[in-house]
Amino acid sequence: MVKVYALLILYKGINNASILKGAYDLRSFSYFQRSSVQEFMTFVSKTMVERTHPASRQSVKEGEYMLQVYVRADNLAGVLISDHEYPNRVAHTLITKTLDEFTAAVPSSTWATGKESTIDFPSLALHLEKYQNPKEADALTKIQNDLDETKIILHDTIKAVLERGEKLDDLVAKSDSLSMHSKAFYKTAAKTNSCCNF
Amino acid sequence: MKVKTEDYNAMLPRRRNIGVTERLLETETDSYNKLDKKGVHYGESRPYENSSNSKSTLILKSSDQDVFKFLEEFVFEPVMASRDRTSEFISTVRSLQGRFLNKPTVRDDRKAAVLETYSQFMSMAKVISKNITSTYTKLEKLALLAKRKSLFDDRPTEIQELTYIIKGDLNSLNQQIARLGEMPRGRRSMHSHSSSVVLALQSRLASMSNQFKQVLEVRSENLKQQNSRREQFSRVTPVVKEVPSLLQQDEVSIDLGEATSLQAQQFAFRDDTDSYVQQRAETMHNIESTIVELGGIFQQLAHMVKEQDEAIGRIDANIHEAEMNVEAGHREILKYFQNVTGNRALMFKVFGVLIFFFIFFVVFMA
Repeated sequence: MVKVYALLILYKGINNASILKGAYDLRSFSYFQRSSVQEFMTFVSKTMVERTHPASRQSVKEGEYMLQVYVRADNLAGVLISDHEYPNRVAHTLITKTLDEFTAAVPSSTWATGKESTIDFPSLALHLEKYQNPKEADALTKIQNDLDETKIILHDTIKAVLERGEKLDDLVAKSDSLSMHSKAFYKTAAKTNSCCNF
Repeated sequence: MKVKTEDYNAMLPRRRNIGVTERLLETETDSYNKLDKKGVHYGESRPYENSSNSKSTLILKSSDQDVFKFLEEFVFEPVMASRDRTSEFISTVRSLQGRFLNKPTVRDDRKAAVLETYSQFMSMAKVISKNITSTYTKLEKLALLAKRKSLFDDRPTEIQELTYIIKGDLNSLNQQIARLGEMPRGRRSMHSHSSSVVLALQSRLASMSNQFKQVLEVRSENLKQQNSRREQFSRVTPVVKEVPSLLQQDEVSIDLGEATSLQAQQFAFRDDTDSYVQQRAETMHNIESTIVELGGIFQQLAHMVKEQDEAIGRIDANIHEAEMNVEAGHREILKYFQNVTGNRALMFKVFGVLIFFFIFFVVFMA
């Protein structure tokens, strides 16, 4: 079951990484564990971003979670924490898209100094929600699925059309014999009439 | 106001309409043969032109109301002499316009508002075109950088940065032009002009983005070539796949840039980027092939339906025939039936039987 646990945006400074904004979905953990899990997530993402070179992506397995990191050339980084089944490509697409939106929404001057409280980017949480179901949210996956469905439907259609063809052939034969019989009928009738006319 | 003009005794009482540039251009040809408002013909006098400009600058120092009355009553005089006084004229107009913008209390408020929106529009268009030219120069630099084919002097970071900047610039220009298009534009006469201005800006932006695309394509070509040459020189194959799209330009360029040093170590990092790129490309290929398959299936479907169409035609013909035959047979039988039911046949039969028995009895009895 694919699940996304957290989506964070960080800024990779010279020596450390700072979290600019984060959205968490910790419903699957028990209430008391949540805060510690969240801290753990922030710590791990900070470490990962510090260790990653700019303009590169990484997907790291961490216990039972999968960490997808993308650090852009201008030191803006996005981290997605999900379970193992979440497709890598979709995760990185999501991160890239979120980073682009973030760049558009928040001016780059505040990146180096921003804190979670000062920066406002509400659509992060929305994205997290939406991408819980990667099949629907990601355009590529959706297109692929739709196309596959369409292909199946078309296969069924072709089968139906073949059956229709058979039935039509049947009909052709029957109508042929019908016309032959009617001709014979006509000939007999004509003969009866033409023979001896009192 | 007229009093003031007459104060300058060197001149005849003529008027000039030094309004907005556009109106000038429109009314210029109109006023060639007209009489001015006072009924005096347009003559020719250089000293008059000389003094008129000084007059206008002098008038500026007078009161506001007078300045503007002066403006609206003056008619633009056609320059039939061969001297080119456009620079003086332009400076005059500019100074007047500057004043004009600051004090919108013209006789006609509507006109002022219209002119103000128009000038705003024009200034914004100026800003946009300046941005376009600057972005254009950046694009040229990028093109130059992208064309370099040397193996080691490649500067991927610079190229990448420049690409990023240009992308951002194009986006912002797009937005600016969109905003410009929605601005109010004043009178009808200025509508066509402003729409053509917007159109020109948009076309320039479009041509620039096309060029940008081409430059990126050239760059990717060069990257591929560099790749193959590097393969020849060093036996380690760099891990770059596919033609990078616009989005993934960054990763691939960094890829090669750092592949020369510590390749083994870098592979561990690069793999992920490459695998992402590869996955995307793979998915794209899948989608593409699925679509192609679907196209083929549709074609087959159409073909089959066409064939069946023909079969249906045959069935139709057969049934027609059958109907005709049945109809004809029916008629024959009817005729026969009439024959049979008719009295004539009966009478023949009855008399035939009688005569037969008569002859039979006669022959046998006699």
